Amino acid sequence: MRVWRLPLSALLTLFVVLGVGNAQTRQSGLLFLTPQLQAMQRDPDTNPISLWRDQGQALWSAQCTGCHPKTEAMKDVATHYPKLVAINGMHQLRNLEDQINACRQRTEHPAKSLEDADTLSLSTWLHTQAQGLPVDVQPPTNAPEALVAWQAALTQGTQRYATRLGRMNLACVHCHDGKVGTQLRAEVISPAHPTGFPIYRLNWQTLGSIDRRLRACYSGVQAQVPAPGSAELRQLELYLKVRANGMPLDGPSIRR
Amino acid sequence: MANTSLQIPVRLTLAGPMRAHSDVEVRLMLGHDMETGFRHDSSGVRVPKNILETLTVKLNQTLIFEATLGTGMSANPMLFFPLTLPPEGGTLVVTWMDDQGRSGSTRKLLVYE
Repeated sequence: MRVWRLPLSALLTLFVVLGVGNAQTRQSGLLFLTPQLQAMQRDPDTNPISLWRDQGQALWSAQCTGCHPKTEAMKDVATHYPKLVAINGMHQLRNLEDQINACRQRTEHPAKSLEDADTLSLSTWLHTQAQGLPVDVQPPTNAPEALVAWQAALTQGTQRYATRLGRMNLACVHCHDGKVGTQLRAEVISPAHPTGFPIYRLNWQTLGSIDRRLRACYSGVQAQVPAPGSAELRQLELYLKVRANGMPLDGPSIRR
Repeated sequence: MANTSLQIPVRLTLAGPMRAHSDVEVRLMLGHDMETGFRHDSSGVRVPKNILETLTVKLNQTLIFEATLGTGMSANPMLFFPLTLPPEGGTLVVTWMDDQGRSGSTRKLLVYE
């Protein structure tokens, strides 16, 4: 008798594809906030993210409209990242904050950090434009080798999600799929659907990108924290965004 | 909000009916890090204190609100206070100063319905 053995990566990819179907049962992290914080989120006068949005709007008009004259055409860009780009023949994933920096370099402005106030302001502005639109991260269709690289990145991200890490010896899946809605000290564990980024964490007292949030998770399980912008963070982000495909973007939002 | 430029982002809005003699809430939000001076960076160097020290709001040159903030205030402070709108209208002017000596002001014209 012949035993068919599917490689682990194929099984995990299958799991991702099946998981995408149940749009109704997937929940945004916004629902796990207290009623007070949800009220704070709704009112632009009390929502500190308004400061970044206003600045993003000003920066957009001053620096970006030269290349992107129609803001309306940029409405859905935030829903498509991370994207795979080819740099000198090497494929690499780029999220929205990376893209903002790539635009800076293209227009000969100095590059800034991912957590810089200007980078986050522009990211906030673009995410505000995309509010309510469904997350739409799709494999590249331009070249077959790009598709292979994208799928490899997704598989690595999927595996990373299920890999035990750090002194806590926990994988993302243990809390963010297995313990959703339960308490982790004073926090309520929310499912890993990144529809609300960038986030204003009251803990940080500032806005942060998904890159920073994921690094905070590594620190939380007492693992070696990857460098900002590293490939493993982008692969994980790709998996999380694909998992949230079809869910409406509801950020930028407040988190505890 | 980390900001190295001289002007910090300030949001000044009024909640309530914009009519003469009506009671509204002045809502003020300032984008400032409010660095306490108690923290150390990753190399162990103390981060110098830099908070908004004083803040005043004037209505037609009359002082209507003044605050001296301390290190216990969180970043991006929000300050709300009640105001009865004057019949003659006018301008609200917010001025602030921080520990680095940066200062600035924001104006808002009262527009009635």
